[in-house]
Amino acid sequence: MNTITVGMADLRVTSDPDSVLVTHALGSCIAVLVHDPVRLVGGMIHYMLPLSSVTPEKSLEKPAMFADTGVPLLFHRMYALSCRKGDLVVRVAGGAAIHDDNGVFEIGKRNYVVLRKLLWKSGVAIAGEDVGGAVSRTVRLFVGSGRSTLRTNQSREEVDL
Amino acid sequence: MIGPRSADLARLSATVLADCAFLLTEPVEVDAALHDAVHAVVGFSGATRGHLMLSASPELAVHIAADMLGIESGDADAAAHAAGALAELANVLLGMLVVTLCDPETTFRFGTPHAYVGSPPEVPHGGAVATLASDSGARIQVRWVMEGDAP
Amino acid sequence: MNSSSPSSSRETRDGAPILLRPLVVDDSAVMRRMVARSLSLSGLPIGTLYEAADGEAALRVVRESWIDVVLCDVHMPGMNGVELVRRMSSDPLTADVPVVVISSDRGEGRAAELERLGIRGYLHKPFQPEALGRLVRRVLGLGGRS
Repeated sequence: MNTITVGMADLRVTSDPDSVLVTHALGSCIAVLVHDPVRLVGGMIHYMLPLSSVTPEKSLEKPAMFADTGVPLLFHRMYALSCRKGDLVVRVAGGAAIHDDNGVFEIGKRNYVVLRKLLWKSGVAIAGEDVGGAVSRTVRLFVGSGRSTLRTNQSREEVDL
Repeated sequence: MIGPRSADLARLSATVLADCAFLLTEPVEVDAALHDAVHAVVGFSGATRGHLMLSASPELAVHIAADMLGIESGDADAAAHAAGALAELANVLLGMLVVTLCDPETTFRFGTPHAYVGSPPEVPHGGAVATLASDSGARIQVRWVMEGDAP
Repeated sequence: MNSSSPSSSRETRDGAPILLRPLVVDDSAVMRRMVARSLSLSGLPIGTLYEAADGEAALRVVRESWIDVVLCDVHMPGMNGVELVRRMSSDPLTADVPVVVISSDRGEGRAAELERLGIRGYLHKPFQPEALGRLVRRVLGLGGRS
């Protein structure tokens, strides 16, 4: 099994059915997992912030940092591997309420709302999600089977997403 | 039934705006009514009576309609449904407020929300007001007024 | 039966309809469109989508057309959702049509009243499109998204 780690503000797409995409330590960040069961292509993004308008320069350098630049890019990368929107299975994890030094803890919810709007306007449904709360999440996407799993810092058990 | 504090009104309004219209907002300290805005008014009756009013600029109302319908703001349908979108948001927010503020087993009747463009409606003094601002700085205002116990 | 005409297909497999004919009842045109879009996103096989803005219009549709499921609001001008459900449940022609309520009314009393009248599900607004899809699938006994 070829493990492909998706870091923070990172996005990966692969057509290798023997690979597993994984991202760790999802706090207020959100991971979007996209799988094409017909062509056996998988993609994952781990984004940190909802809107790129706060730092447009950064979004050019790291589009995967933001929902509004990174999520469309994820889908375009899937389409570049001949995936069709109607075949894609989308799952979402993260968006926890995490306190930071500034006391701001709504960023997880904001990340989630912006994602919901993007997917609604694009006509994409969410097949499964595990969002909110106050946990840190690790998610995996097994490209060959399409299976997505989740583990949190409160439970060592890995469950299906 | 005790009416909401402005902070509760702001919190619940922000939740509905986010969950129903994908609109991210933050509460701001502005109480002046919005003029030349789209105003949606919905009444309720039951153990007590009152009104909820939701006001937003025409541009924000179009944006809200577009997002609720899943279309672009420039689409003619967005403008055509701007008032209706605000009216439906007022309806959804009313449902959230009523169940939060009183016994969940109490049954209320909701009026038909209606929306119009112009000056804010005349309302009795009192009640609660919450003003929220979107990421673009556009304001949306929520006013809750109770008219006392029903006979 | 002829399955090449989507609007008239009644071909069944294991008793389940292949193309669904839902009726969306809400006085808000915006909400009717949101429900329609949610049904579309859910992957349910929608054949013809009917709409009505109040209970009276809905009652006419459900008496005159084959409707697989009614998705209706509660608070509407004229005949409201409660009265619509009451009339449907007391009419042998419409009593077996499943009704799912989609409403901003979160009162337990309202939900209990409608459950006594025989509704099959109750979804609060705002709702996620996937939640609507799962509820309709459960009510109609359909499998998961293919």
